[in-house]
Amino acid sequence: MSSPTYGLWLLLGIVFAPFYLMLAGWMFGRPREWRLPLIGIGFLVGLTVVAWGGMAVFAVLLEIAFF
Amino acid sequence: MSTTITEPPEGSRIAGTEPQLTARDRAVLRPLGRPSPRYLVTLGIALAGAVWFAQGWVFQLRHGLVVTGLSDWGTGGGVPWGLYIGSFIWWVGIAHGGIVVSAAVRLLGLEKLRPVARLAELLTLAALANAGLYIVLHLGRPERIVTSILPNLPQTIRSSPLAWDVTVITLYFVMTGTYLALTIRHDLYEVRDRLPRVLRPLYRVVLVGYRNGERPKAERMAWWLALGVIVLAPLFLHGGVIPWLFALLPGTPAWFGPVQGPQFLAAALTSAMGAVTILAYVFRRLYRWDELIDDQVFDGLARWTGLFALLYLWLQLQQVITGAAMAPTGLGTVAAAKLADPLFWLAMVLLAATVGHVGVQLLAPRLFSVGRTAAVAVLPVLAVLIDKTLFVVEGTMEPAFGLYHDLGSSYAPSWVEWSSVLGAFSIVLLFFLVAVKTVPLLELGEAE
Amino acid sequence: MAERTSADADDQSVWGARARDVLEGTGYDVALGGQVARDAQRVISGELSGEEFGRRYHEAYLHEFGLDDRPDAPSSGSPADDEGGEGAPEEPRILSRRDVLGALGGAAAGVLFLGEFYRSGIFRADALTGSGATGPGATGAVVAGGASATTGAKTVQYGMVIDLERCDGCLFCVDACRTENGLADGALWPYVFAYQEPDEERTQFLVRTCQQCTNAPCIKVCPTTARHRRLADGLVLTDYDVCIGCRYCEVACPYGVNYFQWGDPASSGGSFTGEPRDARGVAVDGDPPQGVMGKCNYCPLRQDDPERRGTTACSVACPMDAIYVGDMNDPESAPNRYLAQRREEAGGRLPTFRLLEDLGTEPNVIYIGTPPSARAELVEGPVAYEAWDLIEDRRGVLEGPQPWFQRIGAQT
Repeated sequence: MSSPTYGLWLLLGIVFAPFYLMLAGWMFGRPREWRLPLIGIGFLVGLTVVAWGGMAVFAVLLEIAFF
Repeated sequence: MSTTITEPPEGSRIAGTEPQLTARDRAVLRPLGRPSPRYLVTLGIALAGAVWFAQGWVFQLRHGLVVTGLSDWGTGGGVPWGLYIGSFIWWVGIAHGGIVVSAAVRLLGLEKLRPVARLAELLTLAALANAGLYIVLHLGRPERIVTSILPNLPQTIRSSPLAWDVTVITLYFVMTGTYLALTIRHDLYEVRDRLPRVLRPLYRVVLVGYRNGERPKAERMAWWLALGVIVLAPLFLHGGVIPWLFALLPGTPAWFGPVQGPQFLAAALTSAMGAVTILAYVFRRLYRWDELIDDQVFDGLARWTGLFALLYLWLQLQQVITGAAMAPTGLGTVAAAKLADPLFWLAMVLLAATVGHVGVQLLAPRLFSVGRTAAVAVLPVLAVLIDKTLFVVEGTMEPAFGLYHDLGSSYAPSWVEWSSVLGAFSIVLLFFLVAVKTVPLLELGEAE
Repeated sequence: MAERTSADADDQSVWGARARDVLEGTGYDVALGGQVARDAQRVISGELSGEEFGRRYHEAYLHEFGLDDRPDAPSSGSPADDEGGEGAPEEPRILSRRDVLGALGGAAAGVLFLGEFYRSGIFRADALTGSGATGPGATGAVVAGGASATTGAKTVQYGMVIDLERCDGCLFCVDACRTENGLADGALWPYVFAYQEPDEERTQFLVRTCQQCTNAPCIKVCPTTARHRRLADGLVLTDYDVCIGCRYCEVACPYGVNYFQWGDPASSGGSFTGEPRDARGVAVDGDPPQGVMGKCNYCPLRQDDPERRGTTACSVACPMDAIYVGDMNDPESAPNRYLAQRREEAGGRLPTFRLLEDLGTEPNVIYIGTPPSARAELVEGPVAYEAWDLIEDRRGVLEGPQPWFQRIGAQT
């Protein structure tokens, strides 16, 4: 009765669209250069890793202390 | 990649000396000095709040969620989602302040709000961290949050709104952090000699690959970021995956339906503008920034708050009228329950007072007062917490399965849950107490 | 529609049939597509070299499509597209994906993210026809084999036929379940409503068990795949080792069948000491551990046992023989045979219903009787829950221990 993978397309196709637009703007917008966009992508990836990595470490501590 | 925090790439070492700074910039940098007694007292209060919250949480971790006021819905007579989820919605909403102000400045050219742009961005980071904290607090098995969610995301993202939430909040958090980093690099480089030496490794990370001439590109990238986030956050986070957590469930008439997206968004923007107003006022008072954060800022923020509060009330009206007039059984019950709840009316009165206050100031500009504007800003912020928590609770109290109604249900948050509200405040306070000593809270002007 | 299983994707014949379906939809040469797909699998297993694979179909590709953009094709430097991946679902092709993304705007940050999705096989054509999460995924839980999940083309879907015209509200079923599963106080996996319609004297009953929905909201919303459908019999279960206790399944279920483990089971009246693991080795049975969701689960360990299959604690305990458990897709199963017999007895005028069917959950419990109307009101049943020492209002027993400051307050 429902399209079962709609969530994937909803997220990666529609909800993420502004993110793709931003990346495209970074890359091809003026003044055109690649160095700072790459640093920006580094921040994006780095922050993701820090956020979830931090959470993972915290989870391990919880596991040891309480479960 | 080389870092250049201590050595300018060309020329002699001249940066960081007083003559380079304008009077305005010196005022911006005023908080960076040694902590005052008042600062230390505030720090003590924030730490005490955080410690109180922590012991409450440890109590919950040891004994389970039995220490909350929650229970199973249906025969359990309670609600499985309560103040934690209400607060989660609330903090994600407040997090919208940062992007709205930044977007207003960068995309719409509303320069008069620029002084509070960075404050608002910082508030976004702190508020999103609190939202994440509330998800962890809400869980029965928080120690599994990474191992159970991340590896299964490719599966769960197909249909689980909560999986979407986790994804989009991460994206919003990461984009906001990157925005802050890109726009603060120049300032950090300019004042690098005044920053605390202990945190040098952190500054080094933020300044990775910094070059003197990068500012135009950085500004342009910030523009694209603002454009991306101004679509992502309002339309797809608080007008999207957060309301979809509820609006897609057919068994709960209080939640189901297409109005929740706009309704949540209006709530988010109202509380966010209120929160930015309060924050701006506090910092203006503390650091005598009357010139830097001038009256215009508060006038602008108050108008936005009033407009959003009006929209919020209007959407409530839509919901109530469709539930009260000729509604099918489920919706009718929900509307009746809502209209009978004094807390609902309290929230509506708080919002109406906000709108009224702005209206009076518009009609009689001589009555404008910064202090009162900041005081009134507390009302919509509170109203949203009350209304959104009620909304969460209503859902499972008024299910489509009519037989449960006769069993009755109730919910009152326990001391552990209330402690978390205090804790979240303390965390924001701590966050800003650290920020005020480590980064320029307002954007520096062109120094040279 | 049938739930997709990760196991049946690996089943050669099922896979072949699906490949044919997909290929026939494209309007291109089906035989060629099938050959390419089979050889692509041989490449993965190492039976065939990439170069040989590239050479073998180059001319046929040019003839059929006018171009050959596979990565291994002779004189081809262009990146492979997603279509090429269909025949080789497990092939790690992160590089080509990166190229595609590069063309989309150099979204290198996305590679990490999308690459993970790609490797999970989610972009495969067969993933498009699948349904939501159907089993504990990468967390190590084993999913039952695809072959046992199907009888011919039909899926096995356990459900119940509950004869409300026979139910007398004795609560034997509620108590038997509590005893067999050692449930904590206030967790009433089956629950019996006693109600009256406005103009009627007689008390009617509604036995509320898990509805084992085909279109289960609880499975859809679960952010972890802990709430899943077991392939062998279609039972909707919770993997106690994966559940994070977010209670989203509980708010999504319109029937209110979920009962969370709010505290330590032992100090909440729970007494389960049996085996929680089913034949797959997944912990799904008995009172759940602290912080984990539980619900009526149709006694999965009984269904694993050939001698007890088709029974549940409640169905065995029911003195009125009102509960029948079995495969709702099999006309010869106990519930379907009982339903047919009752229909025959009633001369084809037997009233039946499914609970809240208009919500689209496709429940797999068929009730004999009439559904409660919107004006139905709860009444005292003939047997009180207290008489069985069962607790109805869970709020009353969900009192955590006293915090230290209250203990100090009490002493002074």
